Amino acid sequence: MTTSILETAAAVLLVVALVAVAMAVRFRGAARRQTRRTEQLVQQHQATVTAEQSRVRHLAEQQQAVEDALAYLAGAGLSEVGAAALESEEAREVELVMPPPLVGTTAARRIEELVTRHTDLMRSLREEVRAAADRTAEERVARAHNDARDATRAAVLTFATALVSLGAELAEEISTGVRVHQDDEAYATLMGIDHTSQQMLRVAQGYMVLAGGTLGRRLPATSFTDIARAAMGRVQGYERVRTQELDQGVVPRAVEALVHTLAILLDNAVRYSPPTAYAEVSFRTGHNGVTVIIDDAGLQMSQEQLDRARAILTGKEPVDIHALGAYPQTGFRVASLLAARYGFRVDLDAPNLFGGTRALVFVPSALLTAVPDDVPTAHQPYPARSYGGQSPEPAGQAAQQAGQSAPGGTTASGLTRRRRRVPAQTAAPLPEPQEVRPGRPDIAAAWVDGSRRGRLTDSESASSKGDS
Amino acid sequence: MSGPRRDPDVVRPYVRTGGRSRPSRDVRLETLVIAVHDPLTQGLEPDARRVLDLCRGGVLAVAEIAAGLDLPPSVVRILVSGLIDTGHLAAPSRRVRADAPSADLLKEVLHGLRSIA
Repeated sequence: MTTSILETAAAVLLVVALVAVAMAVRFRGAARRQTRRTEQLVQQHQATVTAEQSRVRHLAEQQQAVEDALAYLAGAGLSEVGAAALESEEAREVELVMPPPLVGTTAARRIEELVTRHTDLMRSLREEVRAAADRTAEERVARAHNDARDATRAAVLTFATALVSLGAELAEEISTGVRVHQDDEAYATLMGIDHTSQQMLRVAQGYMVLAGGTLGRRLPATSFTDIARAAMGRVQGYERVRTQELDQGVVPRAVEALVHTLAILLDNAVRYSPPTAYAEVSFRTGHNGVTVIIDDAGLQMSQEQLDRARAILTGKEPVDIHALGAYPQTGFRVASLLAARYGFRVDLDAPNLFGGTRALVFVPSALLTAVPDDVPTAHQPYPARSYGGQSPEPAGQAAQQAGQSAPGGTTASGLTRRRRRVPAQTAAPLPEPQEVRPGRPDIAAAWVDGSRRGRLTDSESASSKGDS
Repeated sequence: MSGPRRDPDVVRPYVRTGGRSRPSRDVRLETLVIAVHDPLTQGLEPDARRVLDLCRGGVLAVAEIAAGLDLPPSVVRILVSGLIDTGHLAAPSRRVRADAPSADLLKEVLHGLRSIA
């Protein structure tokens, strides 16, 4: 029994021991786990702390970077960015290098936005400033151009007016000269000078008109025939111009302008024609006026040239004294100005029947008038002039005086006696207008012989006696 | 400037003569010419026609024509020489010279001229 108790006790003890062991083992495991867990927790905590620390550091760095960036931008950065935006010609992006802590952050984006906005602002400012500057510059340039144009115009006008005035004087002197000098050589020389000076006068007059001057020369009412022939005198190849005739006259104020315009058109017609071709001037009288037509057989103008010339002639293209082309265009500009000022019209047409160019000058009725017929004929009196000789009549009157005013009939030697129409004047200041009347050939011949003998020197007289 | 001034040479002399600078024959100021009867005036220049009109019906000296038309004498000499060439004018002076005037007539002319002067 004891055994069994012992056995039982042993068993119990064993069980207890086992339980104790088991418990011990169990607790130990738990303790170990607990330790491990604690360690883990500590580790985790430490990691968290480290992470927090680094985050804080990072944020501090970022903060610092933002502050640095802002400080930089506020200090020199924005002005540099702005200056770059102002200077760069094209819309070039300003390159902004972000410090590493800021790369990809919102702050970085904000800073970039700030810079971009600033750049845009500066750029638009630049554009505005530039536009304003351009406007000012343009205004200044325009003003300078106008001033220069006025100065040029004044200079050209002064120069051309002086030339025209001298040329007119020269023409008058030549007119006197060809009446004083009757030698063929002198005449030929004077005519050479005259022709050249007339062309010079035409060119100078052209520039005078372009510079805003007026053709000062006033001529009496003149027929179209004489206007065309006056124009021929101012053209180099006038021998190659053929004109029709028209007695219709032009009012005084428009005569010189028409002469000049026709001279320009004739010069153009002859200059661009072959040396054997003629320029023809004809006239068409219409209900509203007279049209002068100048046809040449010259070089055919291209459509472009024709259009341009017509634009100039009809005044569609304004005249700028700083933008004058070669001569014909200049001439056309002058013609256009004159036409506008005096109220006639100039136009071109090509090709004409001869394959050349046709120029038309329409002169309205307002500019037309009758020309007083001052052409002396055998039956019209004209004021006597002292060139060369006298008409036969004074000789008759003289004879009458010499013959003690015998009434009618003839003198003993055959001179006609004439009755004096008015009583003898004690003081006759001016000779009465004499008639050019053909005399009897024998009397006229006698007068000629007498006057010639009177003018001969002794030696010539001797030789002429030897002849007869 | 006061009003239109009469300028006899608005048409320049060389245009009036068509560029000829000397007469084609010996025509002087005192040369007498007369228009040939019924000449055709077609194709004549205006000034030639004026000369011819003036000479119709009698004899005129070149100087008188120049004075009458207010043209330079050289121009008239050239025009007249041309008109003689084309048969519009005749210069009868040579024929007239054949029956020279008597000394009495000349004396009377001379006397008359002096009394004018």
